[in-house]
Amino acid sequence: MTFMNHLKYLRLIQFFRIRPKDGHMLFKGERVAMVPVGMFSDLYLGLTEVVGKGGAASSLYLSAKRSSPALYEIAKNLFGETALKSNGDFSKFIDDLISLAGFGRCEVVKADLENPEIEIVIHLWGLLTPSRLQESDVPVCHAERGAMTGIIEQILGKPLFGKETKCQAMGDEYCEFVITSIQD
Amino acid sequence: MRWLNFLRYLRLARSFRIDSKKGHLQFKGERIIITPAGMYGKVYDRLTEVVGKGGAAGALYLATKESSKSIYKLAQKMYKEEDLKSEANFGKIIEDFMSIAGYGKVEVVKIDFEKPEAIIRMRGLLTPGEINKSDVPVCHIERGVLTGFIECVTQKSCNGREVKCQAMGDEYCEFVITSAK
Repeated sequence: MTFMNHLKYLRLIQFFRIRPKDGHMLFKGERVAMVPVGMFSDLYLGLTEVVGKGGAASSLYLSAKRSSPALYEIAKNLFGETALKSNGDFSKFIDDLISLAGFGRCEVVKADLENPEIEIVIHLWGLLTPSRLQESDVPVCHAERGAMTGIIEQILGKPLFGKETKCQAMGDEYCEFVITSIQD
Repeated sequence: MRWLNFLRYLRLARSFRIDSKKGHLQFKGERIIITPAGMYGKVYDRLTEVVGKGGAAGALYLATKESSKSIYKLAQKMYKEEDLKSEANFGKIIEDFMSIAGYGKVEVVKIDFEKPEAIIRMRGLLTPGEINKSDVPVCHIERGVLTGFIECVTQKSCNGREVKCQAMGDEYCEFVITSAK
């Protein structure tokens, strides 16, 4: 299984291109950029100083969520729109996307997509923001929460809200995200 | 020359690795992530709504300047230390490095490590790509990265300003980096 996993990622890594002409990095034709992992925690800390924990949380969550159409374009190129919309391999797509972006190891624990009240629970290990933050009394993975909520919103075509209910920066074993339908 | 350039980028593109067990992406052994280019402009937009243009500029600039230590660590794995610290090679290295990271085309117009002072022009940056028109420069993330990088090379504290910006209709984005003293 690990060997198969390795092969799968080896195939995915071939889709990266660097275009010397304009200095753009592309993944399956979509422009992307490489960011060192520490930048997420630095951004969170810098924003917390300026706008407080609440302001940093909302800014990072919403800006990452608003970037999700670009993430969705990459996912569409990678898996095909029909496959993405079928819900059949939902957990696998999310796992692949999260790992491919370098976010960490992911496990979709619950994906109730058929009911009108959607509920998705995702566990993640080794996320970006907690890796440099020693100890926090609140969850810190707002960019990751926004990116995941946004991409799932794009896949399902329904407005969603994401909460982080456990966080490794708080000493939890993993970060847990609960993504639900937005109530009217 | 173009063919040699292509081969060089092909070699660098092979430095990407995915640790499938941990779900970590690595470049030359350093953990990195890949973000859609559009995210930079969205972060700036959203922050501007919350804290205004000045607050967004300060927060993004300072946070990315701090992160430049990780970026410099990556550069140290790619280039020899003596090349990184050489004014003669700096232009080529920063051009190469920024292209690999996907930031756009770089041109070093002036570099003086002693003062320190630098004038750097960039085209096709990430933040202006998402912002149609602005009356102020918007590339605070890129400004922070460049300023922090030069701080790491010179080991001297620096300030970075963006004096021209493609989001303002300029032909290129121009950054002036000077000593903080």
